Amino acid sequence: MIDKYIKLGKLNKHSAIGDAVINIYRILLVILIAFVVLGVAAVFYNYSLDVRNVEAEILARNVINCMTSKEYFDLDGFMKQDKQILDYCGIRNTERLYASVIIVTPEYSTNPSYVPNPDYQPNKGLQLMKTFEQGDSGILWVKEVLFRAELMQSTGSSSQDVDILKKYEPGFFSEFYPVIIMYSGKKIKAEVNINVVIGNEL
Amino acid sequence: MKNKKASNTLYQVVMQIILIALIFALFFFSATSKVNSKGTKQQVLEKQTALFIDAAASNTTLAISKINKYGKVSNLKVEAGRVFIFIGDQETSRGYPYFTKYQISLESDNDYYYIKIRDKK
Repeated sequence: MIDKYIKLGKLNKHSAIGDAVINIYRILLVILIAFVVLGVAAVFYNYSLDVRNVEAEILARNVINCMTSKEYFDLDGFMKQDKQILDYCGIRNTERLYASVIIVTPEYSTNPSYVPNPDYQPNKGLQLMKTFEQGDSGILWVKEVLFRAELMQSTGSSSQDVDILKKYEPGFFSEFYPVIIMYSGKKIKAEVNINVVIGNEL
Repeated sequence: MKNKKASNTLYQVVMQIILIALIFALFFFSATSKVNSKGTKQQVLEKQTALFIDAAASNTTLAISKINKYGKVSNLKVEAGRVFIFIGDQETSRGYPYFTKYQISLESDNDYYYIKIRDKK
């Protein structure tokens, strides 16, 4: 009789352990479902504003304002000092910024074109004078790939969907500005092409 | 014996219900904050303010109303090269960086936050 009760006691202990295991499984399942639904809600309601193109334009204007703060841009003075172009203009938090400044002479052109690469070859009649750049030029390759993909799509030589790449596109701005530069003691009418690329803020 | 077993079962069921209710309460609170889109409004304000700071000339003051169309701005910080704005009861913010060369300082009164942009001395 006593043996029977001892056996029952052991059985009850085992069933209690089994119940605990099933309860843990149920709780974990509820947590998993809650996280999945929360994740879907987070993705669905999440919205990211991209203002990097505007930032790029503002940065380009800041740089050209810096270069033309006096009557002319002192290229001789800039070449003598150690700072790069964004540091020279006092721009901070340059980790996600890239800027290239290309000075060409002697004609003034009103035809801005997309220049993804600092190894820019100027139009006929213009002479490449100096090029400065600062920042991580690596983010330019995404812009270049997107530019070439769009070109191929517009000419019909590629059927690949360019929109897939659009989410990786950095902020970009490019413009030509007329400027007077002091070079070798002489004031020269020149043209400056500023290209700015802005990466993600993280 | 039966009563003890029944009370144990009831105890387990009640504990499970409480735990599941706690988990779902946490889930609903976090989902509610997403649906209210406070995060998006915070993002809009931070990026707008950062762009204004970047584009502003020296000796400019930006006044941001504490009560505006995006909600009640409970706190605004400008530190480490980033703008942080908190709406309502928000406590966390990633902020948005600015790159202006000018010195930035922050003041506030009952109705506005003032971001002052001055030349570096």
